[in-house]
Amino acid sequence: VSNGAGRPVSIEDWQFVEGRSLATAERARLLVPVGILILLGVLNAGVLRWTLIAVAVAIPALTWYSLGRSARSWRFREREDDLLIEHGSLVRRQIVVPYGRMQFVDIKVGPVERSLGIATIQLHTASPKSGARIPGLLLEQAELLRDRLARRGEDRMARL
Amino acid sequence: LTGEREAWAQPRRLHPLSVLVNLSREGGRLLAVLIVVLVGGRSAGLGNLAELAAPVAAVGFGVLTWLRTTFQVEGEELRLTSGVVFRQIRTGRLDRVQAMDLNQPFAARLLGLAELRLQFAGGEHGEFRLASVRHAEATALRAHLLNRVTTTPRPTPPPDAETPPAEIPPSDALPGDEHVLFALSTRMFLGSMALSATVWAALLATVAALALGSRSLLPGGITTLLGGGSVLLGAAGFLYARAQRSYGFTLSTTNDDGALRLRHGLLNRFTHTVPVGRIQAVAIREPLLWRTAGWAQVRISVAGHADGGEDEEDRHAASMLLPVAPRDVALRIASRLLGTDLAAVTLRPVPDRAAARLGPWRRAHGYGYDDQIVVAAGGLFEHVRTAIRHDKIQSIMRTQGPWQRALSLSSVTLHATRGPVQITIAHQDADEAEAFVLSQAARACPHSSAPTPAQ
Repeated sequence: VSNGAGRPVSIEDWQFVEGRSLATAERARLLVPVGILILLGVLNAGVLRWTLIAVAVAIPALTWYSLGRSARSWRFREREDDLLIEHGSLVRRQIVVPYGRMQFVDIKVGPVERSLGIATIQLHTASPKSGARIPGLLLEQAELLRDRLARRGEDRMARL
Repeated sequence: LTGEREAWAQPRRLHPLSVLVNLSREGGRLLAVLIVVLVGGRSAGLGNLAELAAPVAAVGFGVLTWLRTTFQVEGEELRLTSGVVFRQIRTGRLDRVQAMDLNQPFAARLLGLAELRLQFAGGEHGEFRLASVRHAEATALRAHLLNRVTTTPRPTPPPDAETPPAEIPPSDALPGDEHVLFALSTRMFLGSMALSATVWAALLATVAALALGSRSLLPGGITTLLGGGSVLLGAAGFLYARAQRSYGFTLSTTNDDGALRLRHGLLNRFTHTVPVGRIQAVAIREPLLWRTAGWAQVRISVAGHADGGEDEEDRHAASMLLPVAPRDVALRIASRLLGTDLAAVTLRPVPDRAAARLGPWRRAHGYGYDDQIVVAAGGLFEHVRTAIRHDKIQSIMRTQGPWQRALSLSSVTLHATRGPVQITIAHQDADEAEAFVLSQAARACPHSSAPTPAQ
């Protein structure tokens, strides 16, 4: 079995995700809690109203930059025998999943992600702790990656 | 056969009547939709219209779900596309199917439908459910899949099958061709209880409870009596559970299939069978007080035990390979299961600058590997040494927090299947740890470029 010898070399390089879209998707998640806080603030009166509204303004203000930074930090490499994922700005994480250990690969698209044209790839191994994923991929990019990963997984299947 | 293949490769919908079956089973979620529609309709002043709209909305959601759910067997994969709001495409490789169930819940049975459940090796999200299709279709699909599932994972033969049986005491043959590897003596059992900090804590709690209880015999002390009584019951229960797990413990091995038999119990006797090939990771724990006596405990993570329907206590018991044993016996048995000498793996200590994170305890930390296993050591008062075979590592994660970055340190976690054994290499030199992580996949899948071994 040749393990994808005809693969273009460029795939071995670092690949990046749609950092801007991913940051938008992450920030959009704040809309619900912020909206609820503002609603509660409007319904209340006095000091409580302004406290709630101040908190509602502070949440996006404080997390805006770090959400963007961590969204841009995602990158991955399809190496010879494994998929290497790196992300995180404050706490840096590096995850290695050998192709032979992948049980199955899911593509997840939420409503916000769909409107931005991005998707998340979720890898499953026999360990529930692996939790390896790559968010912020263009949908067709994610589908191609899923197919490549599935193919390599078949070539390198390992038993439990 | 090719015609059949092509037929299943087309995206298919579930049976239309599955809408009704799912309505009856997903009553909870349905109720939420109904309430929203009813309350919304009422407050909008629509009155009776809302009552009409509610079931229509519920059925409508069901139909929408049905419309957007398809499955197909394409190549070597089963693909399940679903979701109304959140689109999800799930892909499962046929060679990873662990189990296949064909169920007929009552509602489905009335309508001549059946649901097919496929269990893939892969933790909690490993289940694919096709609910529901015609019973005949489900049977046909199951037959088709069984046909294609040529290499269902089976427990691998023990890695140490060729180990000469010299270490096994030869005279201890049990019925069914078993050999005892270790039997816990009552003396050692009592000693292990006497040297356990948790047992002492439980005893102290009991004494305190008794003291409180005797004082509460004075008038007005009824609440203290109740409190003391519950502490007493709790402590007694803890001691009993602990004795139950280790009293009369024997570990033996069967000759025919190489499985391990674990027996234990104070009043009730329990027997667990663990196929050696299913053992994923091993932890040797040496609590502070046991170290003075040179004793250790061995726990294991076993594949399948986490996903199976067995209860918590059962799982716990099957993971306790040796509740207490002399350290060298523990090391020997662990080495035997791992297929290489655990004690021979030299451990790399953590760098001195890790003292900022670990303090004087850093001496207990370290890691090492040979061509078979990775060993990680750590712990504060209790020394823990964990080991895993390279081919059982599922994935690897290296983390570096801001504090570690300043010291150029990094921690590595090796992920095994679910179980009590957690393998963490804490606070190693960042560059070394990265090199270890990046080269580990090659060690984990040494035959990656070779054809899959026949099973």
